[in-house]
This record gives sequence, C-alpha cells and structure tokens, in this order.
Amino acid sequence: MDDMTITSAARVRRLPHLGWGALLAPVMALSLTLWGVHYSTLTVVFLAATIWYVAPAVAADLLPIALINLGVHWVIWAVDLAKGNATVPSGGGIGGLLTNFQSIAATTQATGNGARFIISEGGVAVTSPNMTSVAVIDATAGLALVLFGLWLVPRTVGVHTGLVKHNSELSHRVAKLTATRIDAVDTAALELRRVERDLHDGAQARLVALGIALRAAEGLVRSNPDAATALLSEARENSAKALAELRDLVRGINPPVLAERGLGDAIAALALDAQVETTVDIDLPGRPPAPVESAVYFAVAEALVNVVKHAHATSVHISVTHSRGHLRIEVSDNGFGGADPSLGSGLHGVERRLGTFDGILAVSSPPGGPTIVVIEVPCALSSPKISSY
Amino acid sequence: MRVVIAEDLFLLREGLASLIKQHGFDVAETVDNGPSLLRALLDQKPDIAVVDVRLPPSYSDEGLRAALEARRQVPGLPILVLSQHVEQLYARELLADQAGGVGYLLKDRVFTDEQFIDALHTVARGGTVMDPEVVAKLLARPSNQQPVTRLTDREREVLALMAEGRSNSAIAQRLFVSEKAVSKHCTSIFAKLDLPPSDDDNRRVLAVLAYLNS
Repeated sequence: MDDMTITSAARVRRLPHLGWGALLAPVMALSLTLWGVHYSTLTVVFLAATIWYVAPAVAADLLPIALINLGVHWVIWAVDLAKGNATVPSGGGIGGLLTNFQSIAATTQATGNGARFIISEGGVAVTSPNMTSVAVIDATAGLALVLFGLWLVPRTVGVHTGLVKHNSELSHRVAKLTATRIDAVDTAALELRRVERDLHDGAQARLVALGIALRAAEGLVRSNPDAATALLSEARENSAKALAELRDLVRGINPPVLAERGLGDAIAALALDAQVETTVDIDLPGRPPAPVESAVYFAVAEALVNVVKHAHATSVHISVTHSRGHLRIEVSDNGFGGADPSLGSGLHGVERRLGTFDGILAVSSPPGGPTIVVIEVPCALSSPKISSY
Repeated sequence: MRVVIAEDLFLLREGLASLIKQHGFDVAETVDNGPSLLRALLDQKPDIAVVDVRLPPSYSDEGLRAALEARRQVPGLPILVLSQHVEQLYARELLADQAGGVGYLLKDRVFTDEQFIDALHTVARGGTVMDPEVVAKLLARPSNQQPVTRLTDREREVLALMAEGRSNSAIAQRLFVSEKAVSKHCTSIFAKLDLPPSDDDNRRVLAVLAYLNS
C-alpha cells in the first residue's frame, strides 16, 4: 500500500518528461526534410531518448551498442559499395532495420553522383560511377561511429550504475519512511491512549467527586453547617488536585515554556529543574519547526532523566547549536559512563521519535565516563519572532 | 489601592475583579491582551497589577513580557503574575532587576483568598512572593558551592518561607517558634549570604534572589 502510493507519485512527476520525448519525433521529421541529415543516427537518438524516459538504465546501455552496430553495418555497406554490389537487405532485426535506414541515405548520396538503382527480390541494389569516393566517406563515418560508441561504453556504464544506485537509494528511503511512519502513528496512538487514561482516572474522577461533595454540602448547609464546611473545603482540595493533575498532563504533552518561548528557553528551564547541576549553552538564531522542537525537547528530558538515574554524575552540560541545516544537541555528564543505549527503552522511544524527522541519537559512554549523548536533526530555523516590547 | 487586572478568560477576569473588590481594592482597569496591558500599566501606574502570563495576541508569554517591559520603564512597579504553571525560569526573570514588588503564583492560589490577598498586599508594599511550588523546586535542586549551603536546615526553612512572601510573624506561626527567634534566623541568613544592611524588605528580596541563584 505504502509503496504503491509513493510509486504513483513518482510516475505523475515523470509524465511531463514523456511529453518532451514525444516532441522529438516531429523535430526529427522536420530536420530530415530540411537538411537530409543522416536518417539512422537520428533514429538511434530518438529511440534512445524515448527509452531514456521509460527505462533510463536500459537506454544508457543500449546507446553505445546501437551506435557500434550502426557503425559496423555502415562500414560493411561501404565495403560492398566499393565492390560494386551494394544491396540493401530486407532482413529484420535491429541490424537490418538500421542498415535499411542508412542505405537509403547513402543511396541519396550515390544518386547525386549519377547512381543507378536495381530493384530485385533480395532488396534494392545501387551502383554509381564514383563508387570509391562514396565508399570512403561511408567507411570513415562508420568507423567514427564505432569509435564514438566504444568511447561511450565506460561512460554509459557509469550512468547505468548511478541510476541503479539512485533507485536503490530511493527504495531504501521508502523502506525507512514506511518504518518511521508506522513508528510515528504508533507513538501518537499510544500517547493519545495515555492522555485519555490520565484524564479518565485523574481530573475527570476528581471532578465527579467534586460534584458529589458539593451536592452533599448543599444538603447539609442548614442542618449541619460544620459538616457542610468540611465537605466544601474537601471539594476545594479536590479541585486543586485536579488542576495539579491537569498541569502535569499538559507538561507531558506540550510543556508550557516550550509553547511560550521555544526550544532554547525550554531546555534552559529543564536545566533549572534538573536534579543534577546543569549548565546550558544555547546558540539558536531562530525556532525549529514545532514538531521537531517537541521531539528534541523530550529527547533532552529523557537524557537528563537517564543521567540522574544511572550516571552518578555531579554536573551536566547541554549545548544547543544549529549549523549547515542541522540542529545539534549535546548532553554530556561527568559520571561513570558505561551506558548501553540498547538497554534503555526510554532512549529507544526517543530515537524512534527523532527518526520521524530523519534525526539521530548517538550515545558515547566509555567505562569510566564521560557520557555524551548527541541528538542531531536536519531542519531549518524560522526567523526569530520580533517582539513588540 | 488601585489594581490593573490582565486576564484573557472572561470568567476568570470577572471573578478576579469581584474577589479583589470584595477585599477593598479599587479595580482601575481590566485588559485582555498584551499590548493593552503594557499601555494600562504605563498610563495607570497602579498600586498593583495582577497579570496572567499567557495572553493574546500570540498566546505565548505576552503578559510576562509586558510586565517585564513595564518594570523596565517604571522600576519596581508592583506586579503579581498568575499562571497555570510556575517555572523557575520566569521566576528568575521577574526577580532579576532586584527591585522587589514582584509576585509569581499559581492560579490555584486564588482559591485560598487569604493567601492571595496577603500576596497582593506584600507585593504592593515592595515585597517578593514566590509560589510554594517554585520554592519546592528550588529546595529539590542540588547546590554545590553556593553560600546557601552554609545555612542550617532551620535557616533554609525560614528562607523558603521568606521566598513565599511570608512575614516574620507568619513564619513564626508556621514553624511554631517565637517571632524573635525568626528575626534572629533572618539576621543570621542575611549575614551568611553577605547581604549588606539595608531596609528589611529589600534584604528579604536579595536573600530570595541568592536562594534562587543557588
């Protein structure tokens, strides 16, 4: 399903080129009429051009073969001319076809020199008073074509390899996109389920309790004001707890500082709240796209959590830079090291989330430390918001 | 006392205004966006402003930025910032000018109106009020080399309550000690943090700052 969508998109993009290929036919006809340019060479060019748009790698292979074939036949024709028994064979195959085309052209040359045609069962034969000079011209042209074809071979092999490589890169890319898209969809669904569960068990339940307490207090207001007051203060506590839970939930979805200030300040705020002394060095001239900001923010948060849990570090340094189209974050600590990135499920999740943006997460943690976590995501920065104050 | 209120949600804005009026304040102006807030603060020069961090048009930290800008032009203009969440980062920005007269509270605190009204009075007087949640985060933060580590546990407790904007008598009540004992702790805190003698309110602000920067 995925592959089909992408292939048809590629096909749509290629259609206009096919149009160009079709244009070549009338151009060829016109040039033939006007200048009598050598028929068969144009045919080869036309064929190669057409095939190029349909199957570029095949066209690349075919072009020198066709040219060499044509050249060889031309030379044979020249030899026949010199012998005085040049007959255009009516045979099939590429060789026959090409010979047919070039023979007619050669015939045109020959008639110009007072040649005669002899039509027979085997084809069209031609004779001319100055056969030798025509034969020399034809032989030279044929040889030149053969040499040109030979010269082309290594080059078209290169083109072929390039095209095949390009194709395999494309299919690799398609496979990667398919995988990361599945990851992204899974992660989003999981996240929604978590939010739903948290709301259901948390704030929603507390609001129900709040309603019940308020209802009960209403009933007790006259008969037992003390009990009503107690219920009301309990209700107030419940509402405060519901708010606190909602606050935590929001922080887990879209952290407020990230929403209000962007990645730089959000990481600075993370550092301030960290359980280990954390310094930051942020050099961001603009804001990355919001989804990238979010993925990177949670990646840094996870890295910090890991430092606190496992590294036994006393200080952490975070640097954030953007250069040559890549956002790069380094989280380094002075702990024991020896962290195995394959162990942490948290880091694995982060890696998958970054993968959606072609981002990577790399961990270097030799035994004895230091541990360095590098996060890199290709992205452009939007220009900084101009503040009115 | 004249109050300016900046809050974009109608219900909350009206609720805040009526609560504040009930406690004898005079609501000079209510606004619902950043640019109007800045204008109102500079025109009205209120005794205190109650400001929501997130305001239109950008729904980012528009309110906070307007408050900071107003205080840059009118140093010490008393502002109590309310928010759905508290961030150390914003607390530091509010305190950075060391002029006092700032508060930073969770919106939930409005439910406990004594606490909220106390905070209004403290900030209007030039004091500093930090939400217990900011203070709690600070307490959880490890500090290695700062002078704050020289404080005793009791002194740290007193400083934390000071940061929440409590007076000596309130701190005394909280810790079940005499007010005299609290003021002794305060003197000791100021000395350990190398704060030069000055009026008490300002020193309390500086002590809180030293604490924040630990």
